[in-house]
Amino acid sequence: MRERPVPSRQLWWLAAGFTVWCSALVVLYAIQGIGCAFAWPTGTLRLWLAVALLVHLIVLGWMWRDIARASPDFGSGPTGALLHWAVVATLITALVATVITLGPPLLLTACI
Amino acid sequence: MSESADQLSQGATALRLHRQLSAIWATGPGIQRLAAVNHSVIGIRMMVTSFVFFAIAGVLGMLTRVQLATPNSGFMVPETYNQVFTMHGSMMLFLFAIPMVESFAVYLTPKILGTRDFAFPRLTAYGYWCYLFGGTILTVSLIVGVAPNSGWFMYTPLSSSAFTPGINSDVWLLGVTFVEISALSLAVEIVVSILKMRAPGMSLDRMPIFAWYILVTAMMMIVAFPPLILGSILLEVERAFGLPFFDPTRGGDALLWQHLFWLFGHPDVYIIFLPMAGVLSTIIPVFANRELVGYRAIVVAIIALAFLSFGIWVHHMFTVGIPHLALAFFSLGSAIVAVPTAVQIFAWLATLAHGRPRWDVPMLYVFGFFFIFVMGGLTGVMLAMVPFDWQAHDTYFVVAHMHYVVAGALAFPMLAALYYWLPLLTGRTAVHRLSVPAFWLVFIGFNMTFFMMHLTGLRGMPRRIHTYSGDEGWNWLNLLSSVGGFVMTIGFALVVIDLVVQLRYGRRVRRNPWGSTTLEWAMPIPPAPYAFASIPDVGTSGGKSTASGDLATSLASGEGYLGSTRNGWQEALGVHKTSGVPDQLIVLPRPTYLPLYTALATAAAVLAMLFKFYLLSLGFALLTAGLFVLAGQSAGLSRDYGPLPVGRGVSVPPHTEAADAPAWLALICALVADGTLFTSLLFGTFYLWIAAPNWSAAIKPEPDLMLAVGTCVTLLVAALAARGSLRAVSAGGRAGGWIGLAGLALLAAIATAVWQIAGIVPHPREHALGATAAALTFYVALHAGIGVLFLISNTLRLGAGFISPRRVLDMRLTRLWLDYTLVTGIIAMGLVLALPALVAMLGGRP
Amino acid sequence: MLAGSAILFLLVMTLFVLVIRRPGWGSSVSPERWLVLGGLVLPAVVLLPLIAYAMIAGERLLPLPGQAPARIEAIGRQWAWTFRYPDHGATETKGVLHMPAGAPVDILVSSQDVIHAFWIPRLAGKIDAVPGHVNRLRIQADQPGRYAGQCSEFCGLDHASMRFDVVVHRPEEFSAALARAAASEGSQKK
Ligand code: HEM
Ligand SMILES: [Cu+2]
Ligand SMILES: [Cu+2]
Repeated sequence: MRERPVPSRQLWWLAAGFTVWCSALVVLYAIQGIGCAFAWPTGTLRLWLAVALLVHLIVLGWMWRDIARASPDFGSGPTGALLHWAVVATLITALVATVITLGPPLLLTACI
Repeated sequence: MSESADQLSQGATALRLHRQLSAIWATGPGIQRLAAVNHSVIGIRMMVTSFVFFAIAGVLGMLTRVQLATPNSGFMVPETYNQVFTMHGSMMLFLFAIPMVESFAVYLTPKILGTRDFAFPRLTAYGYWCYLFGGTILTVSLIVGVAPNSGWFMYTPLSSSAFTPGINSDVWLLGVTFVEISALSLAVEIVVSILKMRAPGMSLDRMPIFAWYILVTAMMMIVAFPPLILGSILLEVERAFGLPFFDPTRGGDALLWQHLFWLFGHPDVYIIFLPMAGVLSTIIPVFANRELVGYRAIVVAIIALAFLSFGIWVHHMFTVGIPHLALAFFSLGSAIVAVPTAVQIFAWLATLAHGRPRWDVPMLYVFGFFFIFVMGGLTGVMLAMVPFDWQAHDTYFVVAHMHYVVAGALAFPMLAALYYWLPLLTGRTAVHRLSVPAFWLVFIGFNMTFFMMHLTGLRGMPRRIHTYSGDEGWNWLNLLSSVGGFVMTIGFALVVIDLVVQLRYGRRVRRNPWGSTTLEWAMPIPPAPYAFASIPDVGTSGGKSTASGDLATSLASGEGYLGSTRNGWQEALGVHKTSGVPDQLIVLPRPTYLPLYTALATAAAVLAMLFKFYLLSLGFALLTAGLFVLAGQSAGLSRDYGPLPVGRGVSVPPHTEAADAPAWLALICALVADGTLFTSLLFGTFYLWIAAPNWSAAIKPEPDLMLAVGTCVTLLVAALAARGSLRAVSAGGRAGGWIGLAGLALLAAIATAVWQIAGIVPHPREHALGATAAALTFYVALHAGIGVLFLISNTLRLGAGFISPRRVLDMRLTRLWLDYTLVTGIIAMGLVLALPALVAMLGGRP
Repeated sequence: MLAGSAILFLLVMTLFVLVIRRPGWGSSVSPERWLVLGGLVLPAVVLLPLIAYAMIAGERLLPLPGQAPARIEAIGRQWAWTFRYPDHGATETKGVLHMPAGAPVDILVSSQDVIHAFWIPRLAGKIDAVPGHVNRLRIQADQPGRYAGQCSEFCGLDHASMRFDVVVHRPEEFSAALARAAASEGSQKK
């Protein structure tokens, strides 16, 4: 137990990646709903959806880069290593999940 | 020679320690059993209760199969059939599946973590009683013939008062909500205990994988239940008081219910599955004689699974008329949940491949699980494909899929778990001659029953029909299915007999028959109420292992932490969340009838509501709240102790003086649940705004700006006053003035909110717009009211000496609550004020 | 899709039996590789094409506005269906849906009370009839003849018998047949 314990708040990072994914899903679904309700032109609607998706991807990418670099914050021992690995892995998975689940649908018919 | 003398003296110490601890921890005999708060006792009770409901629901399932065995059957009239299948589904999921996995979690988690009990034993007991009473209400309704009859997902408007005027739907809404309160309280408790109460040295990377699964599941419960609780409350309010949240003729929308229901309903499947996967990840390595492959990957997989499962609820709504683009989000999400599941399946296969597998009864059920779950998972991927679902939705194909996933993935690992852990409970192992044929009957019966349903479904048989005419070409498939049902039932009966026989005549085992390495086996069999006579240190067990049994001996003779008693306290250790370094001594409450009384008061409130005595119901609700405040009065310690020795040269403060006490984390968890409920309410408002028929710019809501601002300002004053009182107490001063100020401010906030509600236009009964505005405002008033309870509790406990400059937890909790109330209050009032602008926008709609 | 599922199912079960029956059989593949191959590669190979296919297939079934085919309203209530033909004046039939063969038809599905679902298993997928909303389903029958339709969302006591018949006419006979059917229904009522 020589290592400095990993601060408890680092646990939140385990949820961070997929929280962004959730946010992306909710925001895109909301934009789609609002756009269709107010009969936006398809082009505008798709553009908004794409922008929202992109913003979330950028946030995820930034978090990934930041976490991967900022590893010392997780402490040096095996606990820190596990958490760091897990956080990076959830970030990557969340990124891939965001691309796969929210990307291709943007090509489909928007309001029917 | 000296070794055996050593052993003798070790034995004597162990016996003495056992006597001392038992005197403190044991639940009393006779009527005092009702006061039990111990996790072992309650875990077993929950397990037994859930099996009773399983049996009842199973009989109901069999009744549906009897009815459907032949065409044009007159076995049941449609009304009975509707009640029977509704109750079958509802009971299986709400009264069997969820409580059953919880009971495993309650019984096993503290033991696997190497601690003596959960952080809030009285809450465990309250949770159990709520479950029992809620389940009983549902069962009784079935007996007297007024059971819910609109299907287990209670779609509005079929379940609304216009089409179900009787109390059938109320029974469901109130009974199920009651049970969910129990599930939520257990979930909070489990999260806190896993993070704060492990054996010293059990850092997160050393935590058994089972605990990760249970932790993630409990967190999912905290977020998954609130949408349904909100939905149930809104629907009950609609039925009882006429606020039309779901009535399309008055500005509500039927689909809002579906969103709220499935926002809970889909994660629920994973809430049931994850603990069972945890069981498999625990058992398979033991039988493979090797440690689990891919611990880290599995941790990530279950986190991913937990989140993804929330993002795919709409796959139950592919046919309600949602645009294709939006459907695709959920279709793709549903497809990729298969990935984390596949990671686990292959981790298990790899564990077996790299181990030296051993075959025993639990492995037989593991085989059954693989067979059934893989099949259910594959049909699940098929259903995730939108065009296929348009065909298969609401047919027997879905019934088949659902039973393969829910029943299969639950029942088989559950039986594996029973065969694996029963020796811990009873000290005996199974009688093979019966276990093996019983397995094959269940397995063959299961597949025969439910495989046929894929085929009837593909041939166009809709679900939930009470009969069919016989010329559709489904006859023999249905008959086979029913016969299979009977084979499976006989199988389950044999399993029960086998387990009972094992209880009486099984071969006796001493500790750890399977050679496991987890800590629940490092204790005498069957476990004592205090679980561990002394608490192990996972980091430095000095070469002693669970598997060889010498860890158990050393713990029994008090060589771990807390190996002696003091002050008659029920002691457990609290640790730092990530590293597992001890940071506090947790003094747990003793057995008490309070949870029972509180649950009885809650049940009375529910029953009064059911029979439409609303004032009486309100009275009992207040009584319940009062009992909660009362429970708070005896919690904690009434003086400062400073660091206390806990053995092995370590001293830590009691939890009352610790910086990071369990109650703090518990309140955060509770607020996460509450916040989810609030978010669902916001979602509901926006949803109605864009989707409900009958919302138009012609409606002119007139929220009162001054009142809304008044509410926010008074809440701000209360939150600031709570800071003042915390500072005053910490500095050793008097806090009475601050508390009084906060109280007055809260009362003013309630008054302004009530005034606001009274003036809402359109009237909440006339239009869902008014109803949502009323709901939002009421939410704020309710939280201010609970804030008053916090203040009352503070005052009482200050008076009784439970709060001192070093013991300020109470004041911090109050501050947190009032901060939350302030933030949600501002958002809620802001939305109410924005409603006129929102409806005006609707004018721009084509 | 069914065949693919069967193959995957057999694959996993074979692996299970092999690792149990032949200890050491799978240990030449490293644990990490097991996870990557089975947990990531296999699902990716199977799911990605499947998803793409399903999205395209779904798109083809949509009632896109371009073609503007004939419209028929289907109105559900406990426990019967009424059909209206806005392209043929105020014509209305109860319990029997008449439609022409060989051309797409848009069914506008709605409900007067609870949620129902409109489903003709042999012609198309289903769509819910939700009170307060109108959903559109495009169907096409290539062969004249009789088809069975059925409510497939639980809607109370008589959900099981909330069926309807679909009569598909030759396109040239459709108008006359519809008028005849509506008239005979009208005369029955009197
Ligand atoms: C582990 C056990 C089981 C669980 C969790 C379970 C759960 C469910 C659920 C949730 C439903 C949906 C009801 C609905 O359509 O609203 C259902 C339906 C059904 N279950 Fe089970 N079930 C289990 C065992 C059984 C057994 C043992 C049988 C029969 C022998 C059975 C037969 C049926 C049938 C026939 C239906 C369709 C009812 C209908 O829609 O008409 N189930 N089950
Ligand atoms: Cu689902
Ligand atoms: Cu129906």
